[in-house]
Formats: sequence, structure tokens, C-alpha cells
Amino acid sequence: MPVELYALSSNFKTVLGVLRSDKNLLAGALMLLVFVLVAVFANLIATYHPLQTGLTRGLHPPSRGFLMGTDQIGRDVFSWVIYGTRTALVVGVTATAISFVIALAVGLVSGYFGGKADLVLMRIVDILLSIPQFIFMIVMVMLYGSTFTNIVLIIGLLSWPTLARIVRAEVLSLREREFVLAARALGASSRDLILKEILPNALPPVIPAAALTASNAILAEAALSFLGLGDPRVPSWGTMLWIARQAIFAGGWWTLVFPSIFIVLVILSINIIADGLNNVLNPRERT
Amino acid sequence: MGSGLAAYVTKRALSAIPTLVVILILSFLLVRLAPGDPAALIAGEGATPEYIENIRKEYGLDKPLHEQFLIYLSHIVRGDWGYSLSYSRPVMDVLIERIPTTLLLVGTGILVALLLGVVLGVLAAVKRNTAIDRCISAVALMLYSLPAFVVAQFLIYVFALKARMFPISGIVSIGATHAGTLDYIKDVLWHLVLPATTLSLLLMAVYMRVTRASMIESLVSNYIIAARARGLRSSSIIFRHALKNALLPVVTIAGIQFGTMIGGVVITETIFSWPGVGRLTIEAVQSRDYPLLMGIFLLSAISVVIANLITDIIYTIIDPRVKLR
Repeated sequence: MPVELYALSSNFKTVLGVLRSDKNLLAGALMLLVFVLVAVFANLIATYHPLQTGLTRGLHPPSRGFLMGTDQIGRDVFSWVIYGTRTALVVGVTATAISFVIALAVGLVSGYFGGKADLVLMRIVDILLSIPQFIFMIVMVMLYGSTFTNIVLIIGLLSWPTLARIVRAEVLSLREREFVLAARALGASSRDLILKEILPNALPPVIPAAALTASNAILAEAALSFLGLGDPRVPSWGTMLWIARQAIFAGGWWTLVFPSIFIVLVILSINIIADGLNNVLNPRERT
Repeated sequence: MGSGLAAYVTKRALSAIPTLVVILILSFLLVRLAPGDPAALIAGEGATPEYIENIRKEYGLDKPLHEQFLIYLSHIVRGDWGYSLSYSRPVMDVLIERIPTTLLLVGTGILVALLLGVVLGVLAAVKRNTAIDRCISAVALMLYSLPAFVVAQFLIYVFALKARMFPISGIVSIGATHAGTLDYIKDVLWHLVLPATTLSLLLMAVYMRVTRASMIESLVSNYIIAARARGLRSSSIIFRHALKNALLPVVTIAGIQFGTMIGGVVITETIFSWPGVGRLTIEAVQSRDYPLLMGIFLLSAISVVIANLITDIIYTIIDPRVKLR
């Protein structure tokens, strides 16, 4: 058991303990939980297949059959928004997972071994960070196709540099700590040191950053769909917001309001969690 | 200072060169490795077969990759960034035409956001953990979580459609004749309000949070110094010193963001039909104009590198803690 973690109060050993320690964190987590449940049980909650058109003859305000109204081609906004939750959360989780894994690998190698590997890897990070993410995504989607898998991959592959820097910074500071030196003196191999001592202690500052990566990923996918670059077979909030562009001129406020509420609340809940986690796990960063 | 600064600037500028080279390599490879015939991609949508063959010869697309890259490089540094079929003009011309429009929007947005963000951030820091602070921080968190397209659409709906206070889109009113330059400027500014407000709201959140955090840290360290000096400093002097230190991170971030946004703020410009580089990106996507798209890509990346360089140098000059010998 890594020595450092004993320093945290014994409450923290469980996830519930962490959640209870900060009221905002708990609120954010509960909010997010609601959306997770919506995403998981989407097919039970939605009233129609989201992609089905022609349910009504054009724009229709919210009514008994269509809780959030319909759009110009007769799609049920409610079902779209419900299934859109699933899309958003899948994007958030998957893209972040991809970024996280790459960032951990790069950050650990770079921070622990230093030298040439560090120089080269950090150069790559600098260069990737020099290219505005959104333009990069647009170009990649244009060149390689806008399937859902592509989009998730592209977002994941462009989000790791920021995380990698944070991992590396943590590893650099952990490398010289007494418990690492002690373990090494006791004959631990590099691999053991990295995996058992450094990695568990490097994680706490990275997790809030990973949460922010998730919310950025959700925004990015929504933005791409908004611009018509999303996968047409996937119900995304962004696409509905693009439709809303035309719809609000015909008075169709429901196409704008409902997806907006959902996306803002999901992003907000993730950001609250990230902020809360930051306060809890990094007390020295607490303001 | 003197030679220390010159040496640092040179060193820093030189280290940006490999970054630029790699970016060029990346932009070169992206098109050649994409599915489809590179010649057809580079030529653009709607190109005739003869035109495509011309492109193939001009860029040496049958030659080995490293030779291709040198040809590509020679085109780029000569200012030949390709020809846009959808605009019937060289890519470089189209870009140069659109950049000032984007700069107007982005510059205004950042300046307003900085002003408000810093003021509110300082206020929140000074009144730390009071109701004012909690209020400001909550607002910042809210704004931070709002996507650009949501903010823009709501502003349009409320202020343009319903209240009819501002125009819905464009940079000037369509078909309007202007009685002189002043009239023209007023029209542009009237159109600038909503898009710039959108940008400012989004950026303000970041600046508020960063300013608050760095101001708190700076105040704390200054009070410690003052305490050690046994209160020889008045509290307003402490405040001013703290403020100077606290502003550095925000200004750095703003500088870097400015560089990032020279390549256009795609979403905001698209929603407001603001004819800048961002809007151009979408037009290029819709007409599958790959030369134009890659031109924008290069422009964005180069802007970021240069902006980072300049911000870095300015930061080094201003930061009192950095010694250049």
C-alpha cells in the first residue's frame, strides 16, 4: 500500500468517503448519476426511435405525445435528447479513457526516465498543443470520415497532451520523494517503482484534469455535430442544436431549449465534480 | 538585461523552428495519408482530370515522399499555399482577406473579457469566501460550462429575434448603403456586439477563475513578506504588488488564446455568419475545398507558435522573478 495514501484521512479509502467530504462534489456526482441512468435506460425512457422522421407534419410544440415537441422533419425531440445523453456520455468516457491511457504512458516514461525520451516526448506534446484542437479535429474528420468511431478516436487522440504534462509533472516531483528512494534502496525494480509507488500517487491531481477532458470531449463532439460533421446515424445534441438554428425563426424554441439544458447540465455536473475533486485531492491547490 | 534578453529571445525563437517544421511535416502527411487520391484532394472538389494531373506534376506526387516534401516546402515558403477552387483565388489571398475580420471579433472579445474577468476575479479574491466571492465563482462556473453555440443561440433569440436590438448575422446590413466611413463603422460595430459578447462571456469565466486563484496566492505571499518586514508596508502597497504578480498568468493565457483564435472561432463565426477565418473553415468543409482547409490549418498552427513565442518573451520581460543576467 503506497505510503502517501495513509496521509489522507481514513475516510478517503472509499469512494463514498471522498464524495461525502465535499458538498458540491456530492451534488455534482448526483446530477451526473441522473444522466448516467437516463443514458443506460434510454430505450425504456424514450417514446420513439430518435432517428425516425415524419412523426408529425413538421415543427410541433411540446404536447402530450411529444414531450419536447418535434422538429421540421417530424423527429421527436424528447427521444432525440434522451438518446443523445447516451451518445454524449459514451463520447466522454471513451475519448477520455483513450487520452488517459496514452497520457499515463507518456507521462510516466517521460517523468521517470527523463533524458532523451523526455525531450522527444515533450516536444511532441508541445507541437500537438500548438495546433488548435478544433481545427485539427475538423481537418481529421474531413480527411478520414465522420463515423462515430472516428470522431471518438480523433477526440481521444487530440486530448492526451494536456493530461500527459500533468502526469509528468507529478511523476517528476514524486520521483525524489523519500518513500520512492526507500523502496529503491530496498531493491525495488523500476517497473515496480513506477507501478506500485509512483503511479498510485500520481493519479490524484490527474483525475480532475481527466474529468475536464471528458467535458471537453462532449463539447467537441457536440460542436462537430453542430457543424454537420457528426455521424448522421448517431443522435447527438449538437445536431439538434443545428436544426434549432432554422427552427427558432419559425418559433420552434423547444429545439433550442431542451438539448441546451441537457448539455449545459451534463457539462456543469462534470465541471463541479472536477472542481470538487480538485479541492479534495489537492488541498495545496485549494483556494 | 541587455545581452541576456537578446540571447534569450534568439534562443527561444530558434527553438520554435523545429516546431514549425514538424507542423509542416504533419500538414504535408495528413493529406497524403488520407484515403483517396492526394492529387484529387489537393486539387479540390470539382477539378477536371487535366487539372488533377497538373497538380500531380506540380507537387511531384509520383515521387518519393521526401522529395515531395521539399517541393511542398518550397511552395509554402514562397507564399503559394495552393489554389482554392471554390473561391477561384489563391488560398493565401482568401486567408489574408478574412484575417482582419476575425481579429476584430477576437480582439474585442478578449479585451472585454479581460477587463471584466480581471476585475471580478480580483474582487472575488479580496472578498474570499464571502457571499460575493461565492456568487462570482458560481457565475464563473456556470459561464465556463456553457458551450459557445448555446450562448450564441440564446443571445440571438433574446436580443436579436425578440428584442430586435441587434442584427442576427453578418458584419454589415445586407444591401445597405452607407453615408460615409463613420456610418460604415457604426454598422460594423452594431453587428459586432452579439458575437463579441458571446466570446467575452465564455472567456470571462476562465479569466475570472485564473485571476482569483493567482490573486489569492499572490496576496498570501505578499502578506507573509509584509509580516516579516513588520508591517512597514501599507495594505494598498501590498495589494498593488500582489495585483501585478497576479495578472501575469491571466495575460499569458489571454495571449496564447489570442494566438489560438487567429485561426478563427468556428462556432461563433458560423452562428453569426461573421465573415472571418472560422466561417471560412466551414465554407471550405462544405465545398470540400481541401487546399483552403489545409491553408487554414497551417495558419492556425503557425499563429499559435508565434503567439506562444511572443507571450513567452513578454512574460520573461515582465516577470520580476525571472533573472536574465
